[in-house]
Amino acid sequence: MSLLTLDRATIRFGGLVAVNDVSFMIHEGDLFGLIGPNGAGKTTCFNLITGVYKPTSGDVRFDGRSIRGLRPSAIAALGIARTFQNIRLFSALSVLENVVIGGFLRHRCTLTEALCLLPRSIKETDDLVVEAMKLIESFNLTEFTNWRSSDLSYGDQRRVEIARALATRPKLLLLDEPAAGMNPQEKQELMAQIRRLRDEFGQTILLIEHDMKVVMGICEKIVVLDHGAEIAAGSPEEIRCDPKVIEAYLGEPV
Amino acid sequence: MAAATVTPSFAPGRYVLVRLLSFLLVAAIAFVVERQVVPSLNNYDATLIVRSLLYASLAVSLNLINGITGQFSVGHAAFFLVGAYVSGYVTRNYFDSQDPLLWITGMTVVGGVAAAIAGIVVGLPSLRLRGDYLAVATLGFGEIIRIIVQNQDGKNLSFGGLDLGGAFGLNKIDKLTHVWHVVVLFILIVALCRNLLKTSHGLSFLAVREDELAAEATGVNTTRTKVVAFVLGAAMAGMVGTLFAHHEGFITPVTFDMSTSFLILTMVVIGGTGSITGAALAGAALKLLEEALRKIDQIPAIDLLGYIVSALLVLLLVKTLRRSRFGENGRHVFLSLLGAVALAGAVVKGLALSGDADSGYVRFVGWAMLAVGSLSILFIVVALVRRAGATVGERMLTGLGWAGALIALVGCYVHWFTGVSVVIKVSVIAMLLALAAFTTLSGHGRRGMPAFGAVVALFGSLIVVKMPVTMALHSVPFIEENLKDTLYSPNNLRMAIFAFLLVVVMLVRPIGVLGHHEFSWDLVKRMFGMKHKQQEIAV
Amino acid sequence: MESLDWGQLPQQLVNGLQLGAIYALIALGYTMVYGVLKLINFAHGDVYMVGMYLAYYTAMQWFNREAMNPYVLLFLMLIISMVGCALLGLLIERVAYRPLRNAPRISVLITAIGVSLLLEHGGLLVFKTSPPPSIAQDVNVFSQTMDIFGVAVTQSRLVVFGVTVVLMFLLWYFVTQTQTGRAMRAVSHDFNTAALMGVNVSRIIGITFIIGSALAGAGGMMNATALGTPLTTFAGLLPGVKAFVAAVLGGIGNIPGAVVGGFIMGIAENLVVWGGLGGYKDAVAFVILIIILLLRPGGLFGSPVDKV
Ligand SMILES: Nc1ncnc2c1ncn2[C@@H]1O[C@H](COP(=O)(O)OP(=O)(O)O)[C@@H](O)[C@H]1O
Ligand SMILES: [Mg+2]
Repeated sequence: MSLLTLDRATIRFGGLVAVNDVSFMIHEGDLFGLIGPNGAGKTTCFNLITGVYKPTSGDVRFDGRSIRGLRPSAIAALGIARTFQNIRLFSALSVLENVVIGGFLRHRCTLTEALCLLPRSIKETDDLVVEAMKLIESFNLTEFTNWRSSDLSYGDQRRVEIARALATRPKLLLLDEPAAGMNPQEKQELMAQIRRLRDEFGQTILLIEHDMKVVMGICEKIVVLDHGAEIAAGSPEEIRCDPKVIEAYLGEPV
Repeated sequence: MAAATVTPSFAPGRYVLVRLLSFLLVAAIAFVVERQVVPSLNNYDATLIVRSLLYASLAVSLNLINGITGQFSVGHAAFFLVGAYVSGYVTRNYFDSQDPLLWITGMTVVGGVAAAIAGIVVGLPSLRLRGDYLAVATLGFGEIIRIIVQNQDGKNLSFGGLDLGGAFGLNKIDKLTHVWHVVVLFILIVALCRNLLKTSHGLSFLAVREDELAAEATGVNTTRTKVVAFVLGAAMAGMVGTLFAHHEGFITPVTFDMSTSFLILTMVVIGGTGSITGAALAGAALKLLEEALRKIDQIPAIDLLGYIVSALLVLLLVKTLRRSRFGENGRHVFLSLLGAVALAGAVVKGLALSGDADSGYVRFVGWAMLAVGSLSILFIVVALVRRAGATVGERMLTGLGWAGALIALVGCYVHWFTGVSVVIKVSVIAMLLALAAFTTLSGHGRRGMPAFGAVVALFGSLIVVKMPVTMALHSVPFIEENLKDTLYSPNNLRMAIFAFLLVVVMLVRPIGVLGHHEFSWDLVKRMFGMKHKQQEIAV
Repeated sequence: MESLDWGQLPQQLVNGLQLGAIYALIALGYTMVYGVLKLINFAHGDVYMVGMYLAYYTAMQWFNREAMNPYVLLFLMLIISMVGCALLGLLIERVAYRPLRNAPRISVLITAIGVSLLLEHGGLLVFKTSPPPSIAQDVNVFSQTMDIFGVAVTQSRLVVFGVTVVLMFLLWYFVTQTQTGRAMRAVSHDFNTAALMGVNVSRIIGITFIIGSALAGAGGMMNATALGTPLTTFAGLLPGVKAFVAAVLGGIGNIPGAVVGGFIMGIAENLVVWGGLGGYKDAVAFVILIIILLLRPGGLFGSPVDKV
């Protein structure tokens, strides 16, 4: 059974159809790529999946149930985590605090317990901190643990964002252009890391990437959007030779 | 790259013993205050303590909404009102004086619950709005609540003939509030907020403040979090209202109008949006300042205008100097020169006063001024000679800084002999010392002294520039005619002063004086230049 | 509650129109400033208050009222109020808002609240407040009453209404027909793009404050002369808030909307008084505000989509 299904999802903003009748399926363990030229509607797709927007028509199903119209936090609780194209960290908070918040949705203690600082709230917070430290370590960010997150370099901020998303222990991880703004070396490292996430932990990943080469390198399945519509889908090889894709990319003034 | 290290604010104090001790400490403080401090105070001083603590609590409660959760609410006085009126009404009509302590505890709960309900009614619809729209919506709700209460006079505009005294207010509420109740409530409110921030729950509140969309995507239900924060803040304000009503014994709707909301907001904003410490300190300080201003003599209007004009002039000069080719150093030198002139003025004035044959006190002040003024000038010279600083300007400012510290100390000593209330005295002195300690000792080490010197110099220049400005103002016929005989009681200008502070803080440090900092022993250690120990996390 | 007196209704409507005209003048300033800066200029109501005082001082101190042609005096009062307020508005923008151009919007809003408090309470320093002066009897040469279809209308109401309409027409002409007006609309449509297209945004913001404040000054002058509201430094607080509600009602940023909103507010307030709920007169504005914010944050004429 598929983990995530987009079923003819469509969204309009006034006259603009930002995502038009897009359908695809992601199975557990997939490393799925979503590509397309600028303004193709990739980020909007993410926003549909994560509940930031509600599809005008069509449906989004996750783990066997429709998540259309749920609020983003509920969707996150079901197991979809994401990063943002333009990094959205909690900038005045430390790296550690950012990642701990990622674990917030798994904690059980009530607000009253927290207000009275009862043992369970302390224990849960401690557990979250320990977990967050491990994640931070796995992203080689240990030295920045207590830094204000906005003081980190661009690339590091991106990795903190991924760590934060992973801290929710998602069934599906959505990454919106995670390598944007990185230099080739950093890009390589990040991609290796993403691949490791999948290979070692079986993490299902949906990846938006602008850079064709990068996506072709690591994704097994790719969907190509252009002007909101799905113009091709398949393996990297199929995509590479697809004339429509070539046209969409070459036709785009960069 | 210079990166600020943020101490995780949430690392919980995990020792049961420590927490037990802190409970005992609270009890002890309350006990000492009630048994030892209060009896030695007169009524007015006790009132000062109560009011300043109540406003500090109010500021902390609003800080939960505005600072920690980042929702800009401007109608907080309404919840204060609801708590005060509901509990006051119940007490007035049903109090049976069996067990006052139990009664007031019960009333605090009643007031809190009533305000929480009001919080839900206001919060649920308005928290869908953001930023400035939320601000006006809460402002509107606050005023509606006040106007409704104002119309409950048992006549035809009341709901069901409810009589809350209308615009005249509710009187003859039994005065059940003791000082220690207020101390306990204050500590309770601060502790609740602080506890919250020590857990991941608190982090979710901060996340909402930092970025709502990202918080949602990370699984934080932002709507729920916002409403919870709002209702908690409202409930706390309601509890404060209860103690307020049972302290004053008499409440009127005007006490809770827009300007009270603005006052509480000012406290939070000046203290540092998000800082519990900042809100509490600013709350208490501004309330005390407000009360202190009531006691200050009237000021001639033209003098006051002179101060304002010269403040503007000094700021303008400083700004243009910094931009001019003299740069930073020129600005420092200029400021310090003006400061030095002020000190010289103090010496002259001190000479004159010390010869006063009639009043021992005046003579004493004169000698003090003389001594401090000359010593201060000596400080500047020493600093110049010892090259305490990179540039001439910095050296002079360093000297002025030392001078300022000295003046603060001597001022405190002299001040002690005035007839002002003990509470105000103690707090003014504490604040002065804290300011001096903070600017001189704070992290930046060697820059601390010149920074403090700059503050001193600004005040000094104000006094120097003010004299010619006032003379000039006197010579303008329009001003002279209109304002010659006008005197202002500072009491009427207190809101203007707060507003001025607010604008200045916004322009200079929009995040508030303390920013997001909280008081913690780590902060103190860092202030004194001690190495900050890395948070230990048991893995 | 007494039964309604239907005979009074037309009279109350006329009163409402006059009050509404003044609200509309103030609302224009709110709406224009919000248009370009996305800032609720809380201090705007206090600029209006300063306008009232300028009119007062012009008539009572700066000129010899007895020796002057009253019409000239009124005109002078109008001009001085408008110019004085325009300068004050510009000053506020330069000193308080401009340094915060890149600060979070909330900081600017807090500053605006601060400036407003400062004008209200600092105004005590400068302005005569006790007893609250009132100038209507002294300078209002339009005090005769006329009878129009059984409704008693003082001439001054007509004059206020007329001047308001003229000012609004001038504003409309400026905004739609001049280069600067077009630039202003461009800025309010999209601040950054307008800046990129070479619009001098700082200048436009300055002009917006000048015009908005001048209109508030005019409103203040007319209120002081025709209605004779007693002057205190807080006289601008409630009208300011109500005018702000009017601006929200008409869709903030929307100039014709502000005018309509102003009239609606004026009439609503008078209807509440007429309905015997005088005690709740000041609450009406807030009730309308909250209803509109919750149901149609874009205002009556704005888009129904959430603008916030
Ligand atoms: N909230 C919105 N309102 C109007 N248009 C939008 C909105 N969000 C996205 N769009 C439009 O949808 C299109 C797709 O944008 P996006 O999904 O960000 O593209 P990309 O593929 O580069 O991520 C763009 O033309 C964008 O302007
Ligand atoms: Mg995108």
